[in-house]
Amino acid sequence: MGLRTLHDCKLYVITGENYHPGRPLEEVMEAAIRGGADIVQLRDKHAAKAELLAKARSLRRLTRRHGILFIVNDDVELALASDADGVHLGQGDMPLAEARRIVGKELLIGISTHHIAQALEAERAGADYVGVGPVYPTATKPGRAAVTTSYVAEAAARLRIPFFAIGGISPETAEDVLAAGARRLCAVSAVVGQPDPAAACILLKRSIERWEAQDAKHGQNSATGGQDSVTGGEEVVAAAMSGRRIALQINGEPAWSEAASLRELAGELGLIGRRVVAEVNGDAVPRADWDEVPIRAGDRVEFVRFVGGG
Amino acid sequence: MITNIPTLEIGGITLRSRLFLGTGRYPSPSVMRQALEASGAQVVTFAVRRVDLDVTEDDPLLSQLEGKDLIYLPNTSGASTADEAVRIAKLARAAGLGRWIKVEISGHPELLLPDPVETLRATERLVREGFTVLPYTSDDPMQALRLEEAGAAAVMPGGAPIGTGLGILNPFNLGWIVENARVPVIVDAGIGSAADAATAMELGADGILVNTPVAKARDPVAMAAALKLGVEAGLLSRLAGRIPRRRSASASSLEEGSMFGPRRGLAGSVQG
Repeated sequence: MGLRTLHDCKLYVITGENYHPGRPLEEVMEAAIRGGADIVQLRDKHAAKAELLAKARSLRRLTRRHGILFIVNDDVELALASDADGVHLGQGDMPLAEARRIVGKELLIGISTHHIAQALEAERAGADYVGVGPVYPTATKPGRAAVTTSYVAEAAARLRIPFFAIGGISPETAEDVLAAGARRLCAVSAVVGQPDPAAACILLKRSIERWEAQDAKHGQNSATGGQDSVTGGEEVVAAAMSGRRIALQINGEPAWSEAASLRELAGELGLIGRRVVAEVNGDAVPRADWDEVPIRAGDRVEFVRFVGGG
Repeated sequence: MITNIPTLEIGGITLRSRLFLGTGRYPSPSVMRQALEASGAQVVTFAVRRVDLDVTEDDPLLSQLEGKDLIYLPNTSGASTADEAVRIAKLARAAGLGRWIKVEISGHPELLLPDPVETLRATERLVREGFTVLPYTSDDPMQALRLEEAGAAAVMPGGAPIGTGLGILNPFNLGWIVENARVPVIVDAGIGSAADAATAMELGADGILVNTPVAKARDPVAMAAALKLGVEAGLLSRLAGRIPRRRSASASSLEEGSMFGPRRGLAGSVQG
């Protein structure tokens, strides 16, 4: 199995041994890989150098066997010593230019970013990808203010290099993050802290693929997070950055909307004046009440009509 | 001569026709509308489905039916549980087309036979919610009683599986259901032609629900008219009181004054 390219990588999983006491690192990461992780990053702030090298070599063997990418956090020397595919740097770590001098063009370099200026700077300086986050408050990085999905939307609108949304990403939050425009996700505790890391990865991967399929259906550039193709690019960015765009499910399919009420949503879909009936989260809503029923992220909305039947 | 044919009343509404017509699978909306006129049906059934968000034009069904004095009987087809059926019923009611609902919970992919347990559950819940509930059921006399107990406004046993046109497969069961029911019995599903409709009515059914035999007939409008007559013929025939079935013939012409005696030998040998 050949190693995949960064472009093909959608799901990035970072180690977090404190989340699975009693279970070997390799077992947990292999489960994640079986569930669909495309990249594994070794992140360990506590282990001694020798122990770290042993872990890195072990994960290198594992990831190579599965044909996926292996990235080492922070430590350029360790990345080289373990024959990793790349190194990931935080904002406080070694500057990108210096890391690049050491690892050359062969290794991937990723950078954590917390606002768009950092991401644009990383892109300009030659980063191969950036992390965008933390989208939500997270136990992995306590005390760091969440950047929210509005930064995700901004990144989707302005970055050309791949970005992975990170921080509080789980199967539950993934829909909102994908709705904001991310098409690559990075998870730690929501995968390695689960009894079934493979299942968590499958759910995350499935969400990503659903949104990609939706992009393809609407002929959209996945990097922009996908708005209606008839909408102008400027409007897309404006809508994405206003933060009002919410992810929801319409007739069983993932969708996004700027609507505040059910009537506005029906308007967006061109259903005003048509003989349709609506249901929000399992409750039928008479048309007269459409104005009063708010639309919130994660709502399940059905629009039905009458057809011939016996 | 029977002059006062009893009217059929369901859910407090007196119906002018005992033929209920489905609106699915017609060659065109126009043929459907003509068939509806020819059938004289007052109760029409239809289904609830997701809007295709990629298509912007309106659906022709309801516009074909608008302005007519009809009772809408939406079905819950597509539901496989009571929960799903209740959701569909509430959506239909939210459309403002009345409170009638045909509970249809098919449990078998090939036979489309109704799931008795889920059908009963859905009926109980929808009755509590104030619907006029007409459950589609198998021709199971016990289930018919349970549905009646649950508050069904009518029970609708199938004569045969939906769309098969096999007619009344179990006249004994159907006869038992109508004899024991205290609510109207509408035979739903399995009817193939006017003869089947007449048979069901003669057995004591209070009405017939048809869709496929009309929609898929070579001439749907003519078949709609035929079924109307079949239902009326069957009802009149039952009210008129049929003769008992006998094992030996009974001459229509009087024997008295016959010019010739019976042929010797033949009849005697049979009679022993």
